[in-house]
Parts: sequence; structure tokens; C-alpha cells
Amino acid sequence: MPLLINGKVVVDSWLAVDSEKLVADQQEQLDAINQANVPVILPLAIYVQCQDQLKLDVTKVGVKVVGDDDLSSLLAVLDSVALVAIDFPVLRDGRGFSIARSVARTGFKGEVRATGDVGFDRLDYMHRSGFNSFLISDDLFTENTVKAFTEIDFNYQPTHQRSA
Amino acid sequence: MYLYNNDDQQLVDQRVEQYRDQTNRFLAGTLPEDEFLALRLMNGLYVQRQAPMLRVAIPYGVMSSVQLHKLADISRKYDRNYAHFTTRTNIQYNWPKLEEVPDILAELASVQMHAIQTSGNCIRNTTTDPYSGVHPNEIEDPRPYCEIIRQWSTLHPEFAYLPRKFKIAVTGGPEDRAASQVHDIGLHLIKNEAGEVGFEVLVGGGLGRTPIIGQVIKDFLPAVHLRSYLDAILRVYNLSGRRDNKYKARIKILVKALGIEKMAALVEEEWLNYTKDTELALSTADIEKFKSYFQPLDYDKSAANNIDLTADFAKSSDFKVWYEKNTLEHKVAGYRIVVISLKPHLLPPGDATDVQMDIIADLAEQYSYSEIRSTHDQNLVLTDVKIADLYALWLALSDANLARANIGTLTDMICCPGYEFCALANAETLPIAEQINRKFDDLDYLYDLGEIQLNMSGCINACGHHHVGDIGILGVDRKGENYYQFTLGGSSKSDAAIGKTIGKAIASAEVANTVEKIINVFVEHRIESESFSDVCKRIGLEPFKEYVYATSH
Repeated sequence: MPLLINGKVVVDSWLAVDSEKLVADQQEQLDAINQANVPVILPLAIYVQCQDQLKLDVTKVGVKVVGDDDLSSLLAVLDSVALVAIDFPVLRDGRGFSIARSVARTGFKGEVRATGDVGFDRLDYMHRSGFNSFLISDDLFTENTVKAFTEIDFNYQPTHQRSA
Repeated sequence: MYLYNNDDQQLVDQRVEQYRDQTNRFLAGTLPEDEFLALRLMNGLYVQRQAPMLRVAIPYGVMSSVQLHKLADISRKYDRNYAHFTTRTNIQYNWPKLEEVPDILAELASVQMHAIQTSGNCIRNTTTDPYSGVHPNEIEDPRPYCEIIRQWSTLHPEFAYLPRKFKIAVTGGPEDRAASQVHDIGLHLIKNEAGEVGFEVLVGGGLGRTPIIGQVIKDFLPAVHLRSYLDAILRVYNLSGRRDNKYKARIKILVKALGIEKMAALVEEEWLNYTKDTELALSTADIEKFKSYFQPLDYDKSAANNIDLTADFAKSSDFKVWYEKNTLEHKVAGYRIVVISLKPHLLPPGDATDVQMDIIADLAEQYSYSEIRSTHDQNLVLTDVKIADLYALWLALSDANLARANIGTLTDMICCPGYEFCALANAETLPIAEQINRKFDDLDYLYDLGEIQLNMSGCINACGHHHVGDIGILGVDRKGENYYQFTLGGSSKSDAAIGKTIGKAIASAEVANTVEKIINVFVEHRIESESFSDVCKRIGLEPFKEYVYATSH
């Protein structure tokens, strides 16, 4: 799946941990993660629970958030993570936009990644809500995708400008 | 009125091209239908029973002659020579071709209009009092604030995929002509004890399956905080509104579930901590800038010297009746507010033909500073007509079948387009409106009855606002037959109330007869010139129930 950052497709160095395995055998999985020492994305709830056992550098810790997650628990861990992946399960579910805004306005300097239903027609809205990284499925990605960010130049929302 | 600057124009022009690209991708098969559905809805395009329907925004109901001419022109060129004005002061075309919609939008953009957010689960067109800026009882003109809301909400990136649609209405004085208490957010311009202008903010009103009157979430919001407070409400709603069931997704359900105190606390926390002191805060200078777009017109002072209509009244008693029913007091001496009835005898309520739209646009140019308003009651208004010009204006309107003197009467009904034009509707409304019109064709009798609001919807979604009519009629389908459920005692005004059902639904052939029975009960119990609404409140529903259902025992 192409990962788009700053208008360019980049290599995704993050490993999304299989949450089912993690739940099934937490200790073994955590040991493996600590040993591999590569950047990992953990489901928020699991991260909150096993934060202390994780021996990775902040730059290698990411959390994945879904709409039902408790937003305050996400905001509480922002200092200890470098990536927040926010999931759009279906087109109609727009909670991810407000979650991204809630993260971005704290001054969070890391990666705010959109995952799930990430299509051309919502990329600019996602960007302006605080996302700076977009994981786009192969069938939705074309060479035109980057044009999504420049379809409409002007906007009325001073708090929702495009970041550089 | 507000005129676009280069930025506004660029935005709508680019939006047209963006939508053209979306349409092309859909037609080419590269944009899936369900995705295009969400996108076209956010641009006002529905696909209905017989054809697509395009809803065009008339921001807070204000348009220029040039714009109305363009709307007429579009109905000629792309549709069937008419259009329908809605309760949220927009205009709908019933027969556009899906592939021509981008061209229609380009035509609209050429006169500073668009169809942005006229449907979909986003913030819709903001509505207000059609007499804004000219009504004597106004505290302040609400239009500058409506324009602030229009700009803030237009293509807002965070609030385009809300749990459900979101509607805001603003009033400028004590009388409510915008049904603000049955909106997701109602904003009432008020002055506090220190004389500062701000808003009483209501939240969680709405009609549909679960009609609810909005509740006060903030007693007084200083005007400078308008955007930041709305932003806070929308974020709380976007994050917490239900998404598992579209019939329980409006903010009214969230407010009901949390209770107004908890809702207010959540919004307050978001507002104080995160939005109040951001760039969303308005300066007094910002507000003054918006007010400058809506300055009082250059009224002719000498108009006040020419207000004697005795001679015109002598020429025509019909003119006198029209003057009494369809014109209102203006805050400037020598002028009147004129309501153009879009409720002619035996024709669909709220419709106007291309010829009528052109005539109205010309008359606005000639007599009313080239400006037209659309109303929640589905009529049009010329806000600034010299009293001395009224007779000539009346003659011209009469010739165009636009001067039926029925404003505020039983036949000035609010009515959705019903089964023939709407894919959601279960029952017809237009033939029923006609049936009622035939029964009540004696205008003198209607005047004797006084103000009665009759509202009719063709389904539970309640676009015809039946819950808040003095008399509400809801069409339902029973095994392929249309039946009509009556409610009484509703109001969308400052005494807002949800009407109560009087009994089982009535066969379509009996609707006008039932209205007549209800009126008979009213007349029988009425004391002097008491209004229908007051009689309903005084005697309750029982006498109506007894009489309406008596013969069927």
C-alpha cells in the first residue's frame, strides 16, 4: 500500500503489530518486539496497558486509534509516541477528522497517519484536519492522487490550514 | 448583500471543477457509486423516483435580481421551466440531468451561487428571518452573523462526514420566523443587561421521526465567540454522536441521551480549553466588516410623505385586501415589506415558473433595490417597497398569479413535494394540497379564520414540518393506499411546540373534509377573534377528536 507523505510516496518503515496475536500471547509478542527493535504500531488500548514493558525508543512507538477509543487516553500518551494512526473504517465514519484535529492542536510533532478508507476525495480534508501521512490502498492510488491537495486553493477555516 | 471577493469566487469556481471531475470519474466507472453518492449529496444532488433533484443554496434566503434571473434561466435550459422553493430557503430543480449538473454549477458560480452542502451529512445552508434588516422589532440584523457562519461552515474539512445532517437557524428579534427551535442549533440574537449583543444558543431541536424542541445550552454567548462556540459543539457532536443507526444520529438524540447539562459541560470544556482563544475568535473589527456588507439601503426620505393609499384602495378592494394580508410594516417610514405568495389556487405550494421568477426579478429591480428573499414558509419577499409603488407592484404580481392574498391563512401551507418527486416520500402531498384549496376557496372565509399554519409532509422525515403546524398532516402508506395522520397544536414560532396526534389516519379522499371539521370545531369554540393556536391551547384536543371521528362510529 502506498504511503503518501509531503506529496511523495515513501517507504513505510513501521510495522503494524497483529493485535490478535498480541492479545493471545502478550508477553511473547512484547519480547519479540523489544528484541526486533523496529518501529511498531500498537493498538492504543494495548499500548496503554503494556506501556511499561515496552523497551523501545519513543521514535519507534506508534499507536493505532479507532473511533470508539477514549480520546483522553490518546492525548495522555502523545508525549511517548512518534506516530498516531487513525482509522477510517467506512466512508461515513468521520470521527477520524476530529480525532486528528484533537491530536494536531496539541502541537504533536510526530506522524499523524490516515488508514482504512483513505480515498482521493477526502485527502485534502484529512490533511487540513491534521493528518500528514496517508496510507492509501493500491486500488485507490494513482499518479493523480497528489492532485487532491490542490483542487481548491482557498479556504475559510483559520484553524484548519494546510501545513507545509 | 454580501458580494464575493476573489477568494470566494475562486473557491466556487474550483469547487465546480472538482465536482465535474467527480462526475466524470463516476460516469467513467472509476468512482464507486456509494462514494459518489456521498459526494453528490454534499453538492445537493439526489437521485429521486423519476429523475435527479438538484438543490441550490440561497444563503440565508437572500438573492439578487441577477441571481433570480439565473435561477429562472437554469430552469429553462436544464429543467422543465419551474423550480421549487424549500422550507430552508433553498431552491430545487426536479428534472436536471446528472451529467449536466457540472454545467449548471458553472452557471451558478457565474452569479456567485452554488449547491455546496445543500444535502449530505454536513453543515447545511444557514437560515434566518426573511425580514432581516427591515423589521421594526429586530434587535440587530442577523445576516452578518449568517454570513460569518456560511463562510466558517463552507467546505469545513473536519465536519463534512458528521453522523447526520446539521442545520443552523438564526433569529434577529423576539419573533421567530426561522423555526429556530426545531434546528440542530438555534441562535437568537439578544442583548444582555450591559447592552452587549450576543446569542442565546439552543441545541438539539429537530423534526423527523423524533420531533424535539431545542434546549438552551448557553444563555448568552458574546457575538465575538460565535465561530469558536459552534466549532466546539460540532466537534463534540462529530466525536460522540451515534453512528450505528441513522435515525438516531442527529444531535438531538445525543443531547437527549446525555441530558442538556452534560452536553453543555462537554461543549464548555472543549470551548474553553481548545477553541475560544484560537483564530476562530472574532474581533469587533471582524464583525464590523461583516456588518458593512449589510448596511441599511439608501432609502428615499421623501417616501414618508407619500403614504396615502385611499385612492388606490378605492380603485380596487382586492388591492386593499392584498395590502392587509401580504404586506407588513417596515422600519423605515414610507416603505412596506411585501410577501409574494407562492401559494396560488390549485397549484403546487412553493413552486415558481421561469416566467414568474423573471417577473419577480424584474419587479425587485424596479421596486425593491434588486433584492429578493425566500422564506421558511416557501414564499418570496420584496423587503423594501415604497408605499406609493405598492399598487403598481400589486397589478404586476396579479398578472403573474403571484398576488393571492393568503399570507398567514390556511392555504399558505408548507408542503413537501411528496411521492411524485421524492424517493423518500410514502404518500402524495400535492393532490391533497389541491383538495384542501378547492374546499377553502372562499378568501373572505379564510380571513375570518385568522392565522392558521397548515403543514403537510409526505413521510416521517417531515420536510413539510407537519409536527409544528397548527394543523399538521402526515401522509402514510397502508398497503398501497395513502392515509393521512392529523396533528394539532404545533408551532415553530417563539412558542414552539410539537403537535399531538388526534387519532387514526384518514383516507385521502377525506382529508379536506377533515380539515373542515377541525375548522368547524375551532369556529364553534372560538371567542371573538381568538387564534386557532389559542383555541387549541384552551380547549385541548378532545373536542376535535370527538367531532372528527364521530361519524365513523
